[in-house]
Amino acid sequence: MNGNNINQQVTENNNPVVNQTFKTKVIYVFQPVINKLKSVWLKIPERLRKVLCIVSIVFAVLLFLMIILSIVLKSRGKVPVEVKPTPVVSFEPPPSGEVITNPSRYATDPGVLKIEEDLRNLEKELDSLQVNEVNLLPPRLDFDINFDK
Amino acid sequence: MYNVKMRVILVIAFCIGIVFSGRSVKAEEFDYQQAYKDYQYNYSLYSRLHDEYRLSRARYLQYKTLVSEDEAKKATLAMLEARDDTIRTYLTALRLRVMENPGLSDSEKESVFGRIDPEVKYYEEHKEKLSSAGSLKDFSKDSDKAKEQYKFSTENVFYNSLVNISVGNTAYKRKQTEEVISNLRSKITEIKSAGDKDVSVIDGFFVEIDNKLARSRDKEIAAVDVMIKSEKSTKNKVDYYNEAVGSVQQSYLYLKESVSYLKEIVRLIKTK
Repeated sequence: MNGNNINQQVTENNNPVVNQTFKTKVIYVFQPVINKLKSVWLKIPERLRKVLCIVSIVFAVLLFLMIILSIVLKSRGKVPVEVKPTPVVSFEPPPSGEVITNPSRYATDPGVLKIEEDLRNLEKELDSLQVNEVNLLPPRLDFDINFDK
Repeated sequence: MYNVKMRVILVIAFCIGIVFSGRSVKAEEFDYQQAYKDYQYNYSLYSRLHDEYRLSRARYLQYKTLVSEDEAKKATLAMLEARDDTIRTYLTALRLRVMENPGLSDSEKESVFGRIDPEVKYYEEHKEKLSSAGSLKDFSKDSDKAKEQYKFSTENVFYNSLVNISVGNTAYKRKQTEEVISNLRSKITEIKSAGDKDVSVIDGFFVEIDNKLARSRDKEIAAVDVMIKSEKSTKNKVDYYNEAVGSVQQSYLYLKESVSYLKEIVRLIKTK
């Protein structure tokens, strides 16, 4: 029973000793700085001190609000994300659909190119041409109107 | 002051009225699309009324009562009127299709209109007379008259117009092909005079193209001839129509071949 008390005392006494040394160390390091700041602070006129207090409080509140707002926006997923499309590389065939390996001086002639373009359009129109009017075939009508059995 | 204000308001209202009346006139322009919709509506109405006619006819033949006869009369009148309207609106759609066809000349169009217009008039008059029929037998006779007209005249006008439209479609494309040929010939003359490229082989291609175009033209004439032949015949008109359209189809293939030759010429010009 006594042995237990002794152990407890030892453990209870150990921590304050460690804390005290850490506190004294901190005080030892920061005391001159604090003293200096205190002296500077006391040198400032009282009215200005009040103004500085108010400004710092407002600043702190604003900072706090900004942090809260950014957290809320992130949680809602409303932060706009810039979506960049994947670059598409296309290889277009030459307009004529064929590659001329040994071009003549007329290969780039505007007159020839115009004729080629006209031909291409004409070919397209011919491909889509409907020779017979399938939508306009005559209606099916009943002309056998009688009342005989 | 009040009078001046009133005058200004009236002038503005008048101007707005003119602008909107102009728009409504423009919106009411009757083209092929409108005519086709009109025809489709009348045809679907006819189909519905024909079903009702068949039903009332069956009831009348079964019961032979005055009530069933009265119902049969009403249904037959409505169906016959709708049939006349269907033919009339179909003819109108054909007329506008012909009118808007750039491949037909004015005289060709007038020739088709000259056949469509009397038909339209016939069915308008026929419809007007229907309501005066007093018995089911009268309706039968009225229908028989329309049947005769349809068999010996209207059906021919239908298929003749359709073949003309098809011929017009290919004729327009041939005209466009001939324009390209003309431009190409001018270019070749220019190349020949420059003397920096041998284009003698191209002349042979032009002979082939001319032959193809001549054959294309012949096939169109043949299609029209088939339709002339069909009018003198009592055989099924659809068979003649299919033969004529087959001929136009061949004309179209010759056109496509001539375009292939033209493309080859352009390729030769662009190559050393």
